[in-house]
Amino acid sequence: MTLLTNGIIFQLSKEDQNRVQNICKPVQLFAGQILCKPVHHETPKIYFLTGACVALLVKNKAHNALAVGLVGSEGAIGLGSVLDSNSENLHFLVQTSGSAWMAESADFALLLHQRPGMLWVISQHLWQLTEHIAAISASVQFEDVTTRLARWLALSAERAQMQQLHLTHEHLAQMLGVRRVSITLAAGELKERGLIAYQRGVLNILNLAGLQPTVSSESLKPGRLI
Amino acid sequence: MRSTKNIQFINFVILIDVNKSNFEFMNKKADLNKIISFLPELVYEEWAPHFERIDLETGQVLYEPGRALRHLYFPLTAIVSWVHVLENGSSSDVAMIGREGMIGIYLLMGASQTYNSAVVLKAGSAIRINLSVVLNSFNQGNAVQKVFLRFTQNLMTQMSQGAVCHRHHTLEQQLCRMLLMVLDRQDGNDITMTHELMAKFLGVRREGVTQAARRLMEENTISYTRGHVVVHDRKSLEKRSCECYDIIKNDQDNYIKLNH
Repeated sequence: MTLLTNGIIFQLSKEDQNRVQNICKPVQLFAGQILCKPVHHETPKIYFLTGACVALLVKNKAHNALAVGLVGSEGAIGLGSVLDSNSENLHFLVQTSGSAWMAESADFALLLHQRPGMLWVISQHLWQLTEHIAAISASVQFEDVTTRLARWLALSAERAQMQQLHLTHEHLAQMLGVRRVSITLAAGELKERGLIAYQRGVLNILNLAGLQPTVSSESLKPGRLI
Repeated sequence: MRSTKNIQFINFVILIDVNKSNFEFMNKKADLNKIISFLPELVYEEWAPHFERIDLETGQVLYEPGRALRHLYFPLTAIVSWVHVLENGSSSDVAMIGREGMIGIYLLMGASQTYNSAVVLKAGSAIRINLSVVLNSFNQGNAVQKVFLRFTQNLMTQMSQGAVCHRHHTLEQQLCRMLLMVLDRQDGNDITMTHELMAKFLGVRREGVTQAARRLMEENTISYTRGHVVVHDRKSLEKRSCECYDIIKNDQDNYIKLNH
């Protein structure tokens, strides 16, 4: 997928798009891969997603995880290092394999310094991400597992632009911060309602619209990132 | 016996003095909000004359979806809760903002509306500035925008860590975390907050908070009388809290260090 399919890059001027293109190289990301892990000899990177979907995970001391967001081609991963503020509590786990464009954070930081207008586009994306995390954090507090699962599956389909998802119960348990058996039960409920089906280990969303009212009518509003 | 003219003169002098000390007051007060203290000199000089010091009441709604915001708020002693309202009507406090931050930042991040609300959690003072002044002021440039971006990242850390805290930690741990976060946003150990309010912030019933606070009170880590929580032993609170408090605090300290 070309770099232009990324939502952030798409909003830049043609000249700025070319500048970003110059410092990026295309990469393939694979489900299960961890991005931006602070490894000793590796320099920080930024990824503009163009097909891959990446979950934002928080882990507690006991290594119980919880997903607070899902980023697709509308966004980027690794903006924190560009701003020198690494939120060390977030881990980036690739949920859906796909393409991305990778650049050295230092190169992108320099570009931002030279082209102040770009910071505005970054700001917009970062704010949308903030609201997205707020919405998911709120749902974690109040919604039952079935509703949260429906929400996450609808979100995953939306971000991946696919209704066929390779998501195991184990993975979904990690995303929702619940035990695997809770996912199995919740998935069973959604299956009974005719909203999803599992075929040969692949989750098929039979009724995306049906999942979404379970999620919210809010998600159908323009710009609402759920 | 004073003539009328002299009295008028005296009044005039008093007025000047009040204005001058008001401005000095503003200067000193500005240091008490971190975002204001991070503003570059030129931006600060342009905004400062338009700062208004106001008092905020508990429960006051500063903005909500659909209600256009006309001011930016920089809390001083007040603490504001960022609230997300779910479709089923329940509202979840996802972050708290005090003197380290600002309310209305979405307007400076290219968003024209928000899906959240800002509700005053703890009454206190704040600085308010008319949005038109901020939007009309000359291009602030990257330095200022970076301050807002870093604050936004700080918010994300608070919310994301809060989510995992809700999911995986005990109510007692969450209560300790919340109390510590409030202490960091005020001076002194006396927190003006009822059990109801704390319960609302934590998203639980009042009885839950009373229960969770019981052990803390028995150990005299805190005491509670008529809407005031007094913290006697901060170290003990820190010990009883989960790692979420440290993570949020470190992130906040880094954000402050970066901007200086």
